[in-house]
Amino acid sequence: MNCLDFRRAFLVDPTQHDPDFRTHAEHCPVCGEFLRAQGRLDERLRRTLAVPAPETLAARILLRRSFAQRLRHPPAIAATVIVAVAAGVFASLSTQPPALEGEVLAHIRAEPEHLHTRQAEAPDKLASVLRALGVGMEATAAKVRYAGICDIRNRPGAHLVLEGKRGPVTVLILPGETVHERRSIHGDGRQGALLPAGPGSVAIVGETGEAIEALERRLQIRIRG
Amino acid sequence: MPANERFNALVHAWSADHYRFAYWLTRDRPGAEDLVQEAYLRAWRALATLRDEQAAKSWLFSIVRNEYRRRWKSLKPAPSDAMEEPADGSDALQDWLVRRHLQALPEDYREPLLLQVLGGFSCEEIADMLEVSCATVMTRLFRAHLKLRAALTGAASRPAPREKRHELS
Repeated sequence: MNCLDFRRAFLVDPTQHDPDFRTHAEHCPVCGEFLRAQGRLDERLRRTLAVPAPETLAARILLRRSFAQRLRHPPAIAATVIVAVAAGVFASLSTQPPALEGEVLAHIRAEPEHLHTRQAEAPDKLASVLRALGVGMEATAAKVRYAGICDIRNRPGAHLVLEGKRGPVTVLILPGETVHERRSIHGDGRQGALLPAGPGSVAIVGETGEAIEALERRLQIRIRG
Repeated sequence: MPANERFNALVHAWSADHYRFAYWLTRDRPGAEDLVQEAYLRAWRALATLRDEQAAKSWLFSIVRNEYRRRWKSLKPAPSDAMEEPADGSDALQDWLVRRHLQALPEDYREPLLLQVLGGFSCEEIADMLEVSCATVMTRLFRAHLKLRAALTGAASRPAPREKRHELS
């Protein structure tokens, strides 16, 4: 196996254990280094792909199966569907929040795993997230449990989870999503605010009863233009 | 084994992997969950046709993929990839870049890559699932890995004079 064959084989299947492949990696320092460098990228790819599945997924699939099995009793199913549709329509009419506020809540709902993080986030990680997005924040104002970059409306934004008085508080920093005045966020048993921040906005959302205004003052988030 | 028990075992063994596959196809968490639920409902109805338990994993992956192509793909436009990039080389940025470049891969390249990394399938198995030749799968995997790695190492803009020699088909 020569170097070109080696790299071609690697790029078809990075996990392969072909003896010729391994032998070449051991005897060719350049390809050995290539393998180590690409292995780090491969590990990052695997980590990125491994998004957590919802804890209730299996239960919901089995519920759908049970529901399908009960199709032998159409009147009962029809009644259930009518009630469910009516409840859904009523809920959507009565609680539908405006666009960006709704997307903030949807994003929190879509990534529930961050709310359950118990460990403190590494200060370096928080600093790198803020630096990457050109954001200034009084980082010592709260304990940070999670910091990452997420796509919100197809733009990168910072997703932070802080320790609040009543539970986890999500802070989404949204460069490029401007709002002109403070707006309240309510829904999913949560409350918060969407705030103007220079060329972008900041959403701070906690459990009902959380002291959001106090956090707004302490965090002093600034987005550089 | 009774059908209910057999189905329950499949759900508990594989549904999380299928969710991850569905998520990277749809790029939408609620949509991925819905897609997996629908796919498993189809699997339940067709369970009697699954003769070989060893083939259950790839059988279910194929159902999820078919369900995606049948229902989801025509309804949901892919997100725009006109995203702005953050500006430093941190870990957080690297994670974001992986997601972004993965999403930007053409679907023909992304699908076999997902099946390889998430499903752990060989080229032959992926070829069976996608109903293409093994050489085509190898070419697509090669190009997917190459594009992704070139993008992530910042080499995408550099010429690749030897790329012709890497062509597999």
